[in-house]
Amino acid sequence: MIHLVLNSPYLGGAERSAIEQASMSFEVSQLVFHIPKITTSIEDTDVYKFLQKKIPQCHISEFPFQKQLFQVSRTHFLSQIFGLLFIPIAVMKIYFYRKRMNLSKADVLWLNGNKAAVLFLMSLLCGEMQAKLVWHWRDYPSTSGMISLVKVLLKILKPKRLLLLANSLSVEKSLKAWRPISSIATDYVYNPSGEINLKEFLKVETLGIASMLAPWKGHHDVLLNISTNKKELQDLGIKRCLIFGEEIYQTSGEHAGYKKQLEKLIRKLNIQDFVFLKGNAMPVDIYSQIDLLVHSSVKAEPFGRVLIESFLAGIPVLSTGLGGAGEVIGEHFERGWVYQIHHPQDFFKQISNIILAKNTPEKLGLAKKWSYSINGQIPGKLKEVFQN
Amino acid sequence: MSIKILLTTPDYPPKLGGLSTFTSNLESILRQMGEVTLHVWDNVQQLTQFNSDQHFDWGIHVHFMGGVAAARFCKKNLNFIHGSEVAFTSPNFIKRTFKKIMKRKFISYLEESHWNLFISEFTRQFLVSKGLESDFSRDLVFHNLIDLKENQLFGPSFTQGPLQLVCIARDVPHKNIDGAITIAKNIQNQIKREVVLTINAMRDPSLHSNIKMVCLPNLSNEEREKIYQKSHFNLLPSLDFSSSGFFEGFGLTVLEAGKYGTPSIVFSDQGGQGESVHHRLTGWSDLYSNREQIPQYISEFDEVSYQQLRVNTFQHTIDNHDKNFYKALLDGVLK
Repeated sequence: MIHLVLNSPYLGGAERSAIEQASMSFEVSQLVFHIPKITTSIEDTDVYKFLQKKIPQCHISEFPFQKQLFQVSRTHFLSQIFGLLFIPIAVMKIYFYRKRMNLSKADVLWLNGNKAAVLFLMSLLCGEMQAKLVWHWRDYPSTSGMISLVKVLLKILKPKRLLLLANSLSVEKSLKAWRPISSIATDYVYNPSGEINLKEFLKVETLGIASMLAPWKGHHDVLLNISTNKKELQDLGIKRCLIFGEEIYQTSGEHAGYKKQLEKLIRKLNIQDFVFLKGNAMPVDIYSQIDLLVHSSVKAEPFGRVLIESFLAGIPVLSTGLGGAGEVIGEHFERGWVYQIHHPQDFFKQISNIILAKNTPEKLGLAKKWSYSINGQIPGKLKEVFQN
Repeated sequence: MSIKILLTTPDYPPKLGGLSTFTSNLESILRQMGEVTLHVWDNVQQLTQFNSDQHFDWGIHVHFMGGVAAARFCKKNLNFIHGSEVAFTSPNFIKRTFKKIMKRKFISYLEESHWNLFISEFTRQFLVSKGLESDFSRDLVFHNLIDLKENQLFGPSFTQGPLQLVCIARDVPHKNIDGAITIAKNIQNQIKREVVLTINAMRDPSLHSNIKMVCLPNLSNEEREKIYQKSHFNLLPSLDFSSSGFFEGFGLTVLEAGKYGTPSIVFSDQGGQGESVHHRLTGWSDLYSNREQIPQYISEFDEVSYQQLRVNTFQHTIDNHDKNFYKALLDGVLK
């Protein structure tokens, strides 16, 4: 039995990836999903609805999660100190939840994300588990804050059957450097994409960005790029840029209020006839509306699921190529195009290349083929990781 | 009706320096867009006495302190932020005390401005760490641009003759000229070939006898350009002394060398210079802790791959860092 513990009741990329990986790799009877209960009933959450749609009749349980801990900022020190106050209660609740759910009989406890993983690992202080613990990282390990306390915890606990599972080779390398004990195993498996309809590449009229709204996703940089190149983009035939996504983090930090800032920036740059904030949408709706995906992350991206989805949709990708996204694009840009951050002219030049280059269809074909091979490898890789 | 612009700056030609050149470039663009009144200030006292019988649509401030003084005469204010000026410190005790007292007022001014254009993300984050409330609808990053007239791709032979390195910087601690000397020595040890390092500071060559050092403290502009043209690599090993108020905002020498195709070597985690060089595309830009890898990086080049690096560097510089791109930027923001 595989118990997948989700990090959030909100449907972000990490939750979507975990659920899809589970559904493509294991029978429904082997799976139990654990969703954190923050405020509302889990039946009202996006994650629950997605699970019901993706894996009907799957087993779902809700586990207790302190609301105050969920809102702890990744970056604000005081917020993290505040969060520490709630940890003892939260850990005890998890321990009793484990007992109630009889998680000691699980084969694998698959911890999808750091909030959930930290609490479940801390509950080991109250009592061991026989299950194999797979801590699935979909981002680079932070060098400060709560995660540094976890390093101390792992040194004390010395869990025998813990695996740190990354979502790219780039993240796995960081985990190898981060792990406090060298005997803790690491591995990686790429994120999956869902089912995406293929589009034929004919012309580029609509640029698209598909990511949560957060400063490290670089939307503001793209808006300045568009503002300085608007006429030139229009001369190339581009009519609009659609931005899909919402603010999903409820925590404080630099990302708070980012959506309002983007709305204001669009007005200030006078590009409201060109750039449109579209909110959340399902992948199938996103890729049917755009002709070129701009992947604008200004920090190293652990993976970049939207890149794979675009490949499968036959949509060219222009990325900043940082971190795991660079692996996906290819060392020699064989599957996509890369532009430099804060370089409006380079941004425009690469879009021009995509539209005008003769080898664009060939590159799109290579990208699609690579994506199929990645998706095809996931079930085997996960089974191997969970069984070893 | 053309817009009325007040342009304030502490430096203007014939005074030498980066800000002087920057102001001159900016002025030439702004004059195509509207009616420009230029105000050059020398010191804070002058600023506090600034007065005007005009009101302006825009105040454009090469140094934010010009804006603090002149903001009330301008409907909207745009500040260019280059680097250490937002450290709010100074080696001079009186200036340092003044800046500490005025820090909250300076930050409030920047928060109320219409635009703050930062020369690098490093500089933006630095100012946020000093108390600026982050706002991406106001604070944008726009990298440095330069005058590219007389740009030309030079291709000194990589395999013939000594390896020519250059480091042109003020001889102050954070510029780390001694670090450039160390890099040169380590490269020579690796490639087992003569290395010549040209610097515009004075050092005793006898203390560094295992490399050939050329010290030219009184370099003219023409001499500087010729040295960039014939050099194989430009070194900018500046360090992050931001806690003392000193760091590299962007690294203009990277562009000054790049307009001849000369690639640069910088530390990516020590200031804004990490954003001016693109690792393995236009030079070497990696963590300070990886500096031992620099000699290996150099040793891997042959003539063909080195000349390709020069072509990449040259093309990148002229495609992205031409001062005429300020027009596109200002067309976008001066609405």
